[in-house]
Amino acid sequence: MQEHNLNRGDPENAEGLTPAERELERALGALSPARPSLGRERILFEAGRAAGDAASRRRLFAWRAAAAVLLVGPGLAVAIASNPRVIERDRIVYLPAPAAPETPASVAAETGDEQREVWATTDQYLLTSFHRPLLPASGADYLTVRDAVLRWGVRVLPSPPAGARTSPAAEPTVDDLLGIPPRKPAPRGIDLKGLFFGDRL
Amino acid sequence: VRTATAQCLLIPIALLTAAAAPPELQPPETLPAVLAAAPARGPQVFKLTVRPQPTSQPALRHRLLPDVADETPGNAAPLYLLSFMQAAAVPASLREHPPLTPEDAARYGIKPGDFSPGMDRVTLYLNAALDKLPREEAEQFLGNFVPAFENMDLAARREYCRWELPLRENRVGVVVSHLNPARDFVNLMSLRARLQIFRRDYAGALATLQGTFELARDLNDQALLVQALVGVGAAEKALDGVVELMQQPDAPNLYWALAALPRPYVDLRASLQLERASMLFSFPQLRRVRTANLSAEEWGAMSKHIAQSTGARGPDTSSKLSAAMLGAVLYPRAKQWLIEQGTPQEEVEALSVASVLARYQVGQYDVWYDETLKLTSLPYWQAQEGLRRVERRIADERDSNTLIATIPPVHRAYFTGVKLDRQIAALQTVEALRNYAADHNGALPGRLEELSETPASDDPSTGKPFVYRVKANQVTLESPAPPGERPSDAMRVEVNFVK
Repeated sequence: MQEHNLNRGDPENAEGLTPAERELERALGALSPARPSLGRERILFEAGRAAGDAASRRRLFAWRAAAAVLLVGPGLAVAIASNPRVIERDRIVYLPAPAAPETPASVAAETGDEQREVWATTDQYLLTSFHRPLLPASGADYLTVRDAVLRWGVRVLPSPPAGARTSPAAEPTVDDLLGIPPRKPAPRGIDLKGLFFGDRL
Repeated sequence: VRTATAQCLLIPIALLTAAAAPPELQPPETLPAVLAAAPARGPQVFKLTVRPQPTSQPALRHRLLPDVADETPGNAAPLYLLSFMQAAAVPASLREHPPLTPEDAARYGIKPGDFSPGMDRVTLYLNAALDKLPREEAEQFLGNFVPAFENMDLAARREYCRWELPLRENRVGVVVSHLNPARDFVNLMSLRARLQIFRRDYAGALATLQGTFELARDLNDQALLVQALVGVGAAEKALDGVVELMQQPDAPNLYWALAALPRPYVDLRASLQLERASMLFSFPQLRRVRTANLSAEEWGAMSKHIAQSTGARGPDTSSKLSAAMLGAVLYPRAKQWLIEQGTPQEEVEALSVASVLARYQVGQYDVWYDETLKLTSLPYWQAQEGLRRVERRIADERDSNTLIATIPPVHRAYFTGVKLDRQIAALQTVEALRNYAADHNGALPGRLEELSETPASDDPSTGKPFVYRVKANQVTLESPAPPGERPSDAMRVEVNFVK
């Protein structure tokens, strides 16, 4: 391995230089220092301006951050409040409803939270295919029809295609099935007496 | 600075706009929200006004199912279908009725809750009070259906009924298009029975009701669940006719006719078995699972096809990562289960991961279907708690198994059939009371146990007698909603006895 002389720059050891190094030494010695391109005043001015710019950027950043927080924050709050995220769940939650006046105490089941939870469990199962159509259309596959029939009763059986209908009865709506009063004139020929979860087929 | 300020103002504006504009981001009208608006429902209530009447001699003089002696050889199904077609061929314009007003409703004795201005003729005549029924008009209307009724009467007295539907060929998309025509025809039969009762042609009314009761049972022949449930609905319509007949001043006592009806009237067990088999009809490739060593691609494609065809919500295998994670979770369990079921360990180890998972999922489908089916062999009041428990377990399992997600909610279907039997039992008990009152100068028993000659029928939903109350000439029979069920699943029969 070649051994390097770490004291080659020392004039006292100049004898240790190679011919090439001596030539470089002479060339460098012939050079004279160049005049600086920036004067002292110029350097001081540039340094001051750079320091000022940095402070300015920091202040601008702080201002922008404050403005963003002040404007985006309320904006987000309004957006979230006006458009809550929708999470679809299979579970039905029964809300408190007044007891039917004709319901005798002896036959009316409890309607407390615990009872509703039990129903909700049952309905959770009934609604396993909640993403299927609530009311099957004509030509719906069998499982869709079966789910709807088990949920609502056979009155939701889809009618035959147009031209092959046997009855002028219109197809029921979800409101019909739940016994909710019609919001517009009731469909023709429907015999829906508040059908609910297959109460009466 | 101005640019930055503009950005800060635009961001919230853009957010607000995005929140308000696209309709697809609006929450759909969910069923829970709709349910909140639904009125509370009380028990199913039947109100009757009856008179004391002894049972007939001979005892089975009146029947609600055709006598075997009247049967003729052959298959009933083609005749049923022919009668449905003939009824469907009657122009719809003949069924229409000019728009009705509330005054019309009052004139016909239609209850406000049943009234709709656009009622067709069948609905109008079925909802009109019997004493306000426009008889001639209704008779003329039914005259359009005479050929259909003739075939129906023949069909109901055939020796057997085989629908021979293409369950295996049509698979999941099996035809149900004959069911609405069947329901429509049941309404026509109900109207015919009403008119016969109006004319006091009780023999004719019973013959018509026999046809409907027979159709209800025949619909359960080799039927999927939906068809069997249409049968339940048909029998309920026939019972409406029985209730109307029982209330006539000189109505015969139908105790033995009701007692002779089979129980359960519509046995849904065969339908549930067929539902299970229909999965194999629909997806014959499932048969390969038990024998073949499937590749991951094969089982993945099979699972995807089943999920898409059934709409069942199974495990999330939308990405390779989620499928791999599911497999990693299920595989040890599946392997252990197969070994516990008797598959040699070395055979299990030699199977592909996909095969192990496939056999496990098909096996679990069988396990949980059996758990529900076995309980339907018990009386409802014994099976109810177990069915609910099993269905809760199935609900937990279905997220990891597409096949399990196709198992129908058997508990609810079972109860639908039981409600029909409960109504039959209650009416039989009312007839027992009519017979008792006839023997006791109009007096009513203090307890149901006093009915000895014509015993009261037990409530099939509880396995116990109906809750019986008597006050002067008013009788109430009550059946509570089964534990955990809704108040609307309770039933009450209010009977007013007149002399």
